[in-house]
Amino acid sequence: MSDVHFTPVEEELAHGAEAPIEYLGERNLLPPTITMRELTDTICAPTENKTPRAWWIAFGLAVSVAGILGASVAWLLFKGVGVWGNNSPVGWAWDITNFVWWIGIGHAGTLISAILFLFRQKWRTSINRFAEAMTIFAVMCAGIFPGLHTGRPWFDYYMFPLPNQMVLWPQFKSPLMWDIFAVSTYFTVSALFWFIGLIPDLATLRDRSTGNALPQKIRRFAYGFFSVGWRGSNRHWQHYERAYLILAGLSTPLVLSVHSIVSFDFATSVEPGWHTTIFPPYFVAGAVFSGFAMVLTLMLICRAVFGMKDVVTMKHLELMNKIMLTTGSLVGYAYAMEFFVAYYSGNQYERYVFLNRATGPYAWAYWSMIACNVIFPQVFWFKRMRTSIPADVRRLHPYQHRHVVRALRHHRDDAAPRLSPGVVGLLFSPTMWDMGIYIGTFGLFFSLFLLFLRWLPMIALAEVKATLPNAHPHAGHARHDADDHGHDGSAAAVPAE
Amino acid sequence: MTNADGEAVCGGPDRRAATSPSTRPPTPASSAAEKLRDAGYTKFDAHTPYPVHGMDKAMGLRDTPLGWIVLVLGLAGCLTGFVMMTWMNGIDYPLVIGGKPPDAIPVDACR
Repeated sequence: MSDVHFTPVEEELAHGAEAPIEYLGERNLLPPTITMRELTDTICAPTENKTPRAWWIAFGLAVSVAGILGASVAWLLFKGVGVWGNNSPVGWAWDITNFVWWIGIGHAGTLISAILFLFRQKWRTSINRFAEAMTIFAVMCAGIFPGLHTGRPWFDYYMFPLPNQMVLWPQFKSPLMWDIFAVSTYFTVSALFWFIGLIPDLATLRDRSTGNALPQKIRRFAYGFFSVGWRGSNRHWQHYERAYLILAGLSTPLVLSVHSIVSFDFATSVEPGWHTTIFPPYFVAGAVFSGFAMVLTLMLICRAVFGMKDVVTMKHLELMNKIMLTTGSLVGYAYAMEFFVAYYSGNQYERYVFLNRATGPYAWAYWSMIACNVIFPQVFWFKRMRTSIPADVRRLHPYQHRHVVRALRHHRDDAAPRLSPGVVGLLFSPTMWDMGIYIGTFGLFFSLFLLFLRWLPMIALAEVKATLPNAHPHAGHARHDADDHGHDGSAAAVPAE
Repeated sequence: MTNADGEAVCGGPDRRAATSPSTRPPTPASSAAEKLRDAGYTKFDAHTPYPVHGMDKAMGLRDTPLGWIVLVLGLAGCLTGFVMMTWMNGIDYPLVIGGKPPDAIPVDACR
């Protein structure tokens, strides 16, 4: 190509040994010595090695806990929603809290897979598969709650636009319908996004399943079936990349819209403390915050257990902590703004609700929420903290965030100041069935998650490879064709920094 | 079109790589593809473990029509949904709730 004109920088890059990622103003995400072969081996290993005993123990535990969910749901169906602690004035309690919380947990996955993709954040490649899986399983858990809280779940089909014996149609002005459509769209798009991303990696697993033993044959068939004939052809990649871009474009508004719609459940009511315009952004920030806390927690465990520290590096964790800091502060701002607006509105019921939240019987929950969601993340202003903290501590709190906003607000409704103290004193307390369903959804979540870890590549292999310095078109020309399945991405000699 | 990194890549077989000032030095595989393309071959393929940027151009491939397919189907789905809701709540069984028009468009936008 003698007719191509390069800038001096490109010329230098073409012939020199500098990592191209430097050229883009970025640093290497993965250790510069890691090869594509090593990456493939590391990421595929958990699906190919013998099942570790620890996995069986964890899976047995998770399935048992999921059994609690089954039992609690069965009892609920047998007796009715009266087995829950919901009552007047707390008509909504853990059912809606858990729904909102699980949906929120999923948001980090969509943020990482869609928004960070559109912003070209290459570090997302090491965590996106993981986070997307989490999204899908979290949405599954979330879907259980609105399904059950209708009271007669066997009539749930009324919520779908199906002709039925009552000759009634769904009422599209109802926030319940908004939830149904928002969540089902979210689930569909997330699942498609996840699956599209998986295709090249499933093909890698298929190609690695050589041998005539039965397990290998089954693997070859199953991975082959789901990799829908992927051969890594550039014609495939062309469509793949476009499909990925389109799905990222579709998911991006979903990150914002799904939790906005969920917040409308509250904001379109005329309850003091709920009827505010800050709810949609407030919910979205809270969702991303809690979701990242969950991704970090699970990631910290998995990278240690599966030896992925070279793929999910401290650099990744540091960047995630920065997002935690940002969203935590956004949530803190929303808390402060709620208080200010309650004061500024001049509405005594609004004021009462907020004062009661900070000083009333649930004050402990409110202040622990503030401490965990707003104050604690501030330590991430310091690099030393961002790169060393055991993130687990943070996982519990977003739950409290949801709980405070919901149940607490309901326990004293707007009429409370005018009612007798006896009525005001009615507090919500969950029954064992409330707890059983909530804890049980964790069992379901972790059962699915463990299956994912065992049978699917938990890190987006092809995407991580594309971020390696020598995967770039303008990387140094000294390469060796040593990669296990490709002509281009060899990695034997990577320039060390 | 855009590649996985989001860098703009000129599309279309008629645009030569050389005309783009931001063209980067090609990889061996894509320069091989360029040679094949320039020699007049069209039915050849390149297999890579990850998308190689600039390969579409090097192979002289057309831009993928996927975007247009999605656009048409998406608009069709959107229209179907709108017609469905308007018919159900506005025409077949109109209910006035909260004094609002039965087929209010802002409500439809919530999905």
